[in-house]
Amino acid sequence: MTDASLINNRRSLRIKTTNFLLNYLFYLIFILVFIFFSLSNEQFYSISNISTILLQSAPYMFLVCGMSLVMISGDFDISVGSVAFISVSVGALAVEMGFANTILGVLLMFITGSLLGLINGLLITRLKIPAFIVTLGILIGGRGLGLILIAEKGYIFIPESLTNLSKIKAGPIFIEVIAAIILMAIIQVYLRRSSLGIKIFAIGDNENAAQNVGVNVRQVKLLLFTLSGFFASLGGFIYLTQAGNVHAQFASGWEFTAISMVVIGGISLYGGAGSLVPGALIGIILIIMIDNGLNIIGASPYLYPFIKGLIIFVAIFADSLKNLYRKKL
Amino acid sequence: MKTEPVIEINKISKSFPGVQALKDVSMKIYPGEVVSIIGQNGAGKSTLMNVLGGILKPDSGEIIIDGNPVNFKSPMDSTRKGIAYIHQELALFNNLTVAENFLNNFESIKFLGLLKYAKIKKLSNEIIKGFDPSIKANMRVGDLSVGQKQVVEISRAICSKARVIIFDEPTASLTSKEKEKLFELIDFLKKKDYAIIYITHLFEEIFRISDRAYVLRDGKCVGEVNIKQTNLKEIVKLMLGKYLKEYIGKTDSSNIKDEEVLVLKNVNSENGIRDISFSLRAGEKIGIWGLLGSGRTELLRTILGFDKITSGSISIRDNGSLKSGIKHFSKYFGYVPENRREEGLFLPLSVLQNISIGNIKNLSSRFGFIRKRKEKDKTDQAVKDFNIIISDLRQSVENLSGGNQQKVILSRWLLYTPKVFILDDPTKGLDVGAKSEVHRIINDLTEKGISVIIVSSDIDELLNLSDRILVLYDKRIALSTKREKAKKELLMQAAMGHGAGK
Repeated sequence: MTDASLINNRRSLRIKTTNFLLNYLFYLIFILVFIFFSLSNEQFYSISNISTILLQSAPYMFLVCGMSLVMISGDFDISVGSVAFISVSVGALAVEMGFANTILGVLLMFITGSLLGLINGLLITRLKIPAFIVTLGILIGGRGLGLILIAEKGYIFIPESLTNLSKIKAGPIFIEVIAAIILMAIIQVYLRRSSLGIKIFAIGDNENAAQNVGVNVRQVKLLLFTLSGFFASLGGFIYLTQAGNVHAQFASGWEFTAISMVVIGGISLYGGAGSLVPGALIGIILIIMIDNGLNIIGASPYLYPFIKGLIIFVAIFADSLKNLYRKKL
Repeated sequence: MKTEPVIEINKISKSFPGVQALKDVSMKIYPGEVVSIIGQNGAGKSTLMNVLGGILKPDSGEIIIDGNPVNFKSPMDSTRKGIAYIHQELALFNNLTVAENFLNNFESIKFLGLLKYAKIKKLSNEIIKGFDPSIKANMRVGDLSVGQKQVVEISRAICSKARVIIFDEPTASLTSKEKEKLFELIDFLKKKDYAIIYITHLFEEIFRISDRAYVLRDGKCVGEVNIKQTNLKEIVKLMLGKYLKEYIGKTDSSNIKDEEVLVLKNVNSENGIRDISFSLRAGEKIGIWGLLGSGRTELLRTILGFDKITSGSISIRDNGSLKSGIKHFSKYFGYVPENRREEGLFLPLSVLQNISIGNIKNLSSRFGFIRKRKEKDKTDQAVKDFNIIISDLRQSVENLSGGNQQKVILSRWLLYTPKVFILDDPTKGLDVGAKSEVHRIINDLTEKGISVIIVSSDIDELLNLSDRILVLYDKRIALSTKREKAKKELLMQAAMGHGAGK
């Protein structure tokens, strides 16, 4: 072996190690965080607490099904919190005022969510407005619209039949958690094994090239934003069954929480890379686990945003580094 | 050779506002041959290729593939109808595997909505094995070398059932080993009866690879040559056409003084510039010419210090002595970038502001406030000196004509009286009148003892204007000649990589 190839090998080994670290950094952090909280308080790793963490994660798991796809295609949807808010408000209000029975009301939520997603998609693909601007508009305007809907009383309560849904368990685990994980897994398989899935990656990787090899970019994007709206309302519905009512702050801030969860899970901010399972799933549970753990060890609530922010910053930093490395290769 | 052409281009015309880019261009390309399209910058090559690639629609004329007239609605449509365009910038997905990059051809291979990966991988492996067995279908494209990526892109074209493959300057980023491999690959495609269109600036490659060539000049197809029966001279003649005559100099070089202002010694730079040495004397005009990708812009960027030099030295006269290690270019250079609207002007701002920005520091008081009176007087003077036609100093530059905009940029630097002006294609897109005005200004500058470096893609302009011409090829100086001795064919040959000596 010549000197040059030896140096080359050494260099590629270093790049491989760095890449490995960047890719699996958050699995490591996940384990460390879990161990840290477990050592701090033994209540943390009790079955019932783990089950609670998963239960709190469930709405995000549904939400992220849409967000991940949009982000893999290289876009953002920051309207999801408001979309969830309006959708459940519309459905819950219809039920409360007697326009619809419970089942119809829930259906109405999903229809509203999908429609809002469709509007996002149409504005983005037909009028060519940047996704960030369009969804920012829905984020602000949508929250306002939702507030008008619930203005009368400030709360809309839902029938007990719905809140009971969140209490069903299979063994120690809540059924919605199982459903969410199965859904994420199915989408993950579909993403890597269907032509649509590969097209989503292709668009995120190089949109022009995707167009040139015959991907109907507009159609795919329209679908993704519609799906994002639908999954936002699904996440909102799951959260509603847990919370029992819609209030002014319902699902507020979900967009950024979801984006950070997804990025922590390794879905690139630049598009074209990442996975729902295990990636995004790990991201979701990590964030919820930190909240839960800080709560259990009795840390000051003022500390939460700082620590979450720190984690998010590290995630974004790692993502950028990964991108730089890819360019160097 | 079969008698039926794979693709026939019949009297294609295309015009853009003010320019007839293609005029009645006709070509026939047969299976199993490589045809080069040759022409100077702006001869219409890329317009023609964009028409074939479905990016532009022709104004008139038709394209016939295998006997059927076709219309391309989009790049995708052109691919579907049999034309694969291998762009200089490869259109691959780096995060996906090789097989996934082939996907658009295998979409139908699925079961219950899921792709049959094993089968797709096997098919992809079979296709790519014929070209480069070291590439496997499950490798990530981002991990491949540039040459390998090109193989992937070509294979993708093959499996999309293309009949015509267009290569647009494919060797630009290849090592010489990879180049040889690419040529072998093209030979292989030839044997398989594909029709290949090969675009390059490099004569070596034309003679190495092609069977025939069409020569474009000013949007017209001026000749068809059989490569085996022609030579370099004949092709150059066709490319230059009526322009082919020796230039008789008009402007004198009497302004040149002996004092060297700028000296480059064996400069190599991180942007690829190699071993460049020349010196510029006070009052001298040096013209730099080269084809696209020859390193013109890179050389300017290096001189200006935008890109770092890796070895050699650049020194400039400062207070009577030559100094190297220039820190801030604007102290010595007036720079007029190539795209005046994008890189040179603040379009919505006024003429006044656009001119005074070049020397805003000297027009301000000690505390940073602009001295309005002085600013106005100075700009007024500049507007008069340069004969800039405006109605008001406060008028926005956006609506000025190209010539007046260019004069605004030039006058901006003059408030500063730099030692050297660096002009990147200063008359691009200007009409004849504006052009000669800019030329006059450049001549005026040298009378004041200022030196000028002009880059232009218009060889006639350089022959007209400069005292000395440097021809760049492959990021180094291929030829350096005085204007009186410059012969167009020699310049062209040097720019094409046939170094005709020093």
